[in-house]
Amino acid sequence: MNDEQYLTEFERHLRVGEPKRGEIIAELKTHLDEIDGGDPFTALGDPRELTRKYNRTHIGFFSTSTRLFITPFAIVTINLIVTIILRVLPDRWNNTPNTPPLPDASVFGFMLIVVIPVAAALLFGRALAKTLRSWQLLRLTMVWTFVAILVMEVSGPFLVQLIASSDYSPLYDSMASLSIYSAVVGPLIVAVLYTLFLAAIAVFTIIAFQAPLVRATEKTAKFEWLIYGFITLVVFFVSMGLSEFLAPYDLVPLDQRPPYPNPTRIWNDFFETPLAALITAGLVGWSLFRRLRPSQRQKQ
Amino acid sequence: MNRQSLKGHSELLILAALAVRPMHGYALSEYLKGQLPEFKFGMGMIYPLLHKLEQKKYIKGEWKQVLGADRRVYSLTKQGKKALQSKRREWRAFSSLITKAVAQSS
Repeated sequence: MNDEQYLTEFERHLRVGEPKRGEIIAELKTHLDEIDGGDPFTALGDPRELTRKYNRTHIGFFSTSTRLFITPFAIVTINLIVTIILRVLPDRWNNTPNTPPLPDASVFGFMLIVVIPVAAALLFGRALAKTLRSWQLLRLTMVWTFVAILVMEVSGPFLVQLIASSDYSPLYDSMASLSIYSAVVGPLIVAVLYTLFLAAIAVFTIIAFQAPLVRATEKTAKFEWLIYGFITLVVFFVSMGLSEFLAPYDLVPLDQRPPYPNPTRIWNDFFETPLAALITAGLVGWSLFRRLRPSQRQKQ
Repeated sequence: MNRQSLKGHSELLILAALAVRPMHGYALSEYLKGQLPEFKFGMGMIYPLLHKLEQKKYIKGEWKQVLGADRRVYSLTKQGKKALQSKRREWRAFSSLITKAVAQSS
């Protein structure tokens, strides 16, 4: 193995992002310069083993693909178990037999369903922030998040129906005659949109944490504020669209929705969409603030 | 002797070496080879370890010109000097216990 092959192999497995990545590679090159002509494999050991050590040092827990991919599945499994428990124990969680179980699950249960995926996305954002250059990893994470959400969306209702089939509920009745749309296409759309939404949060988190403290020119600043406005609008409308799928009372006629101050309804009607949009827009804004106002921040 | 025997002590070895003088990765690996010729030390592994120590703020790396070439030279920080002292104490206590236990068994 010559120096070039060694470095190629090393770079292929190194997940550490810039600016550390460039430094690591430059430092390794200096070592290869020193052993001029020697076998890099003998001098430095297996490049994959070496990258594993670097990844572990700089990325931490999410340094291996296995851990990165297992985590969403673990979260989804826990989420699913919690959801099933909430639905199977209707009285304890204030469910009533005549309304769909999810909307009447406790606010705790619903928060769990909403908060866990968002928290997971932020967690991935943190992990991905350290691997900014590894777009392949971002792509893979999106694919796996998509698969995980799809599994959750498709298997959840079936399992719940199986377990709680003895309960009377209009939702159960409609699920008993699931069409192709409601069984496959619906969850698929939800999975695609939700994945994009989570990935957007992850990517914006990356930008927020990675944005360099460089003064932008006036032209760039204008351009970036345009992008910021555009992203905010897009995120808002995407969130609106998503809430149509995700809001628990969407399928329930207005007169059958629980009256205020039912906490789940408040969440459903007021907080979900704007909150999601605000979090994302806020992250982007923070990122741009870091980019555009470095001198003011340094003075403080 | 294999590298397993060094597990847990490599940080001490690197800190002790950098206490002698600031060094870049290659110089450090050569230094350790000279000091511990009996050990089969994976020299590439020094670099991630250096980065780990830098994260802990025990050492500081700076790009400098060494013999006309750019090298990342590492030196001990104040925190690193304190860590070295405490690791030395731990090592002395540990090695005296092991020596005692081994001597008793023979």
